[in-house]
Amino acid sequence: MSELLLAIMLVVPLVLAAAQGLVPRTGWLDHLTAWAALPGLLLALWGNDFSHEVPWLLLGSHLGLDLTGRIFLGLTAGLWLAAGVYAKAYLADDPRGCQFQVFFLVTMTGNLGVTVAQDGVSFLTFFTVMSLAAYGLIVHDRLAASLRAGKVYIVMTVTGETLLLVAMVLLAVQTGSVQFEGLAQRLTASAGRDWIIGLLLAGFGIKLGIMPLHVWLPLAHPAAPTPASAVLSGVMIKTGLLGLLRTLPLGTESFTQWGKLCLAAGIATCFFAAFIGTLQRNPKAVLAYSSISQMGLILLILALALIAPAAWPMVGTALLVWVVHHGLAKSALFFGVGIAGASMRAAPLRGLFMTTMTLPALALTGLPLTLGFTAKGGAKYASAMLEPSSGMLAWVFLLSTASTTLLVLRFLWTVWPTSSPIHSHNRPATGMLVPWAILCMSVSGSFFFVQFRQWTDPAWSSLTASAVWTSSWPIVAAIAFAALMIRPLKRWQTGGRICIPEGDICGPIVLLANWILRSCNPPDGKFPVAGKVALAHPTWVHHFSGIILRKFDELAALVENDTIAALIFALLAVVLLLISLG
Amino acid sequence: MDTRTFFLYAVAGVVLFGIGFHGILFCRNLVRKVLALNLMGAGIFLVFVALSTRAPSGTPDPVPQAMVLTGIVVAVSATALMLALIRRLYRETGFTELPCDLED
Amino acid sequence: MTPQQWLLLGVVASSLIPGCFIFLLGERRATLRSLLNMGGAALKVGLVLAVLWGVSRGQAFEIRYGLVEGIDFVLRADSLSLLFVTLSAGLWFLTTMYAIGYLEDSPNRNRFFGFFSLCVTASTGLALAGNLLTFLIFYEMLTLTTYPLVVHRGTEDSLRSGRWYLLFSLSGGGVLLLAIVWLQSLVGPIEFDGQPLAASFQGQADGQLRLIFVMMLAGFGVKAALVPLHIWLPMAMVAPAPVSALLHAVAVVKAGAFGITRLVLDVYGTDLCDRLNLLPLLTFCAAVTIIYGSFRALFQDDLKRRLAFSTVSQVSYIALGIGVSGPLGAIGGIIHLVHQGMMKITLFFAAGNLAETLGVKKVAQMDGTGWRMPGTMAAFTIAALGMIGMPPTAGFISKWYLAGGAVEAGNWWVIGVLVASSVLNAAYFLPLIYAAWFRPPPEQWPAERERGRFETSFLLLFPPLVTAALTLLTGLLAGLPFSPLDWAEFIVRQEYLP
Repeated sequence: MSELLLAIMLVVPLVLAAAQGLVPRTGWLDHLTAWAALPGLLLALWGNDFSHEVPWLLLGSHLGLDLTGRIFLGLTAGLWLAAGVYAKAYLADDPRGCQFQVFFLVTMTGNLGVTVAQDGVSFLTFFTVMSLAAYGLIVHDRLAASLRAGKVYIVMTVTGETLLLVAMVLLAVQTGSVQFEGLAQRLTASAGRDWIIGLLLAGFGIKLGIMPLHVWLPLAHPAAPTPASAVLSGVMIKTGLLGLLRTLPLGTESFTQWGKLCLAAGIATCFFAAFIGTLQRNPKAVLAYSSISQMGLILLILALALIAPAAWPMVGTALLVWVVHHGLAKSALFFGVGIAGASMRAAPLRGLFMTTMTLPALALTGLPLTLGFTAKGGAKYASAMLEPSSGMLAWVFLLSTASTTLLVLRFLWTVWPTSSPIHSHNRPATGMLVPWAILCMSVSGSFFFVQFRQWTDPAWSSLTASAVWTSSWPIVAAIAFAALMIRPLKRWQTGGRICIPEGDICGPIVLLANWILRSCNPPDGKFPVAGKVALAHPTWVHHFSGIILRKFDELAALVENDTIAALIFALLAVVLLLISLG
Repeated sequence: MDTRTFFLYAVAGVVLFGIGFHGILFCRNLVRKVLALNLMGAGIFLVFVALSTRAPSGTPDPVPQAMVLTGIVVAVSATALMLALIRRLYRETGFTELPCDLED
Repeated sequence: MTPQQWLLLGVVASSLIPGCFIFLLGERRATLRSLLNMGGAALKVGLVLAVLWGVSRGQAFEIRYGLVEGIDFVLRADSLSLLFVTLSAGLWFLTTMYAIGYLEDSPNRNRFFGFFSLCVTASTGLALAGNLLTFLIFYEMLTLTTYPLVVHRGTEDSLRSGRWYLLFSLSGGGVLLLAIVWLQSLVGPIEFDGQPLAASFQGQADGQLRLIFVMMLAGFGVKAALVPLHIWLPMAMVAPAPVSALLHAVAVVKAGAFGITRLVLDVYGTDLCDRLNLLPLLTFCAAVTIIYGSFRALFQDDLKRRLAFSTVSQVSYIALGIGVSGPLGAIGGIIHLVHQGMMKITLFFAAGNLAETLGVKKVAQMDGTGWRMPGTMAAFTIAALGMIGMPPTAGFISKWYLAGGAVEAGNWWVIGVLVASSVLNAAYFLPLIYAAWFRPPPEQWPAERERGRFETSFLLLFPPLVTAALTLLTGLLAGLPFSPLDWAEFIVRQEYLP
């Protein structure tokens, strides 16, 4: 039964995508598309753990469900379902709605497949399908900014995919197989493990959005339509984490070098992203930077397991809880941005909206009574196991809570709905409100659910007074700080402000790349592959090959001269003679 | 056959080959090119015949001589074909030179 | 003559006889000509399947005919030749269909289809060749039969390209002949019977063997477009699209690559190549070609020229796979023979469709073509993604094995070459896909022609769809028994390495 559900979950969306492409748009097809993630959710909730070998697929694949996969699948399917329903309402009168549906479905298939893949090749396949199809989502509105975002995204995706391919090949040849079962032991014992780990971290790090590989994220997430941004931030970047969880040799040996590197990268990402995020004006950009910052924290926690393998079980649980919490909260926030664009003329409506928005917003900071509290608790507990740096890590968590709070406040500031909105969708449709409301509630509801079912160790997840105090006082302090800074900030803003554009270091990098290419290229300065090569200005390549061909012609002309020809024939004759004698 | 006679035939063959080769490249008239080709062939046949005397057993090796006979037959057929093509070319265009040679 | 021998002869003759007949037909007899063409193609596919069935039941297929004392004309069906023959037969069937649709109102179709059939005869013959001399005979025949196809249009450009093509091919052929004769005078007749020259071969002939190898590599390298012998290939793009498709995917460049495969695996054998240290040279030439071809493709504005340089680059993957010593690399090289054929022919079919139906010949004109010709451009997209090496297409499987071979042999720099070329491939293919699907179409196409009920005529649409589907399926279902991957593994593991 579970196998059948798995097959349906993967095949039906592709069939629907083909149908969307070939058949003119109909109502029931759109309905089916919106609910296409349902089989995945059913599988996650009621399927049993299994592992099925599919020898004819690709190079021999294994698909199945285990605990990690189940949690990721549940989150993925749930969020795609919500996004599907939301998108149906959000893009109801969009002329390119059909294209969106096709890319939506294919990306969804890839994402769902990633969670059930149990060997490296099928994982990579689904990962690539997901990443490539997401391009269509990002450039949906065909604005110049979106196209630019798409270009950066595809460059980074292709780079990441190539790195992962090399990593997987190394894995396959040096450890004997790409199956995830027992990979940790095999990888620890293999010769080239440093290269493999490095490549995996780089490839999946691009997906996760770790600095300095994050440049695509703040461009892509605001550019995509809201439901797509929600799943991008909510689940798709988490597939990077899933990849690392599946492939890295966690819990076997202490990889101090790599662990320290990840720790440093995680801390840097967390704080830099938070800083840049607070300077953004677009609420979606703020959310994007918030995602980057949270992924930095996740990498940090992962690094703990690399340094101290004994902490791995603890870290694993904490990560899973964090993933679910962040997914739910971030999607709720993105959905809210979409709703904020709708017209809410009555002030009480706006008040209700903002109040409801604060719940997932503060959940991100680790407010008690939300799942964020559990997640942060687990992380702190795990970090306490790392003896020498536990003090520093405690400070990091403190400061990260504060910086996240500031980010969240900035977001709430930017998303405050005005009475005359820019994109008016008239009244926000039911299809948009219901998923959003469910997600907001689930941020807190999941906390109670987890407490009730006691899925987490009470040592760090119970609501004791001290735990509540440790998690709340940074939040309160940050809010107070922000309240104090409002007036000075306003004065500073009107006087001229620092403006870091979305994509921060992307801008300079692109300028540098263009400069390098210009020196190999005709002088219109753009990368020539779009076919706009002006051959009137020959490049050095043309010069070079022109020179060679001219030399060739000159040589040929030389031979036609009679005396030279006669000399060559004499030479030929001598050679013939010598051969005949020998 | 002593070495001097061998050398006479071999060198003559090579010289004929060279003349023929030169002729093919630099003669413009197609019939002359065909003649030059035949000269090249004749040169090669001479070299073959000369080589056939250098067999280790003392008596001349018949295989190269058989190949010369075959070669003569092939040359005759090829010459016939080429002359037919030249005649057709003349009938179609009125020239006995190739278009690229006509331009210079 | 046993039935098996008739079957084998039939495989070669099934394109020879229709070809000869087509020359004698009147120019107006289009239906009869199409019938002969498609009939011959279908017959060939059928006969090849019969041979496959026979081989799978353990029958041996060999024809031996003594030409001169010590020189035999041998046709033999072993697993490598069967792989190539199946590829040729299948792709020829589709290309014939495509050519009939493409050249609907063109002059001189008799001439074209006659030489077309002869070209495939030569290709089949060299696939089934059982010894080096038979291979050479068909190799040279291939040169002669493809020349009229290249100069088919008769324009100044075509004639010039044809001249360069002949120059390169005949020179290469001459060098090859010299090398083969030299080798046979050293070791006697060379058969492709799974017993290559032993590694402990005559120590004092090492220098000669090395030189012969280089000469044969040069001879094959002309057709396989190894740099710097590739110059004729981009020029040959003036030929009509079916010719480009056939030349670049099935017949000519594959013949060169196939020759290199035979050279290393069947003539010299991997042991001797290791002892004489010849493989690094091959790997190096292949690597240079890969990078150079990809790099040049970036700067081409003409679609077919871009695809031509892409071919230059991709065919050297085969040589790279063979040159990297070890079973994984050899598997990678051999399956890339099949996969690249399918992907490249799709790309050329699509390019031909664009030129024929819309008059689109340049990359800059490709905006919005995806919405005007969705089937064609969907096929193009799949093939292009395959070229880049994205899973789950066939190109991914080849890249996997090539990279695996490099890791297995410890040639780390080859991985760098593969990575760089993947990135370059993405750089010159992705903008084409982007332009086709994500840019608005122009007001008017350069030269639009109504060609049928669908986006273009059925004969032009069907072949690229089939080959694109095959690309996807051979990648997705690579684990199936009797997939090209399985076949290649069988070839490498059973026949060459103990």
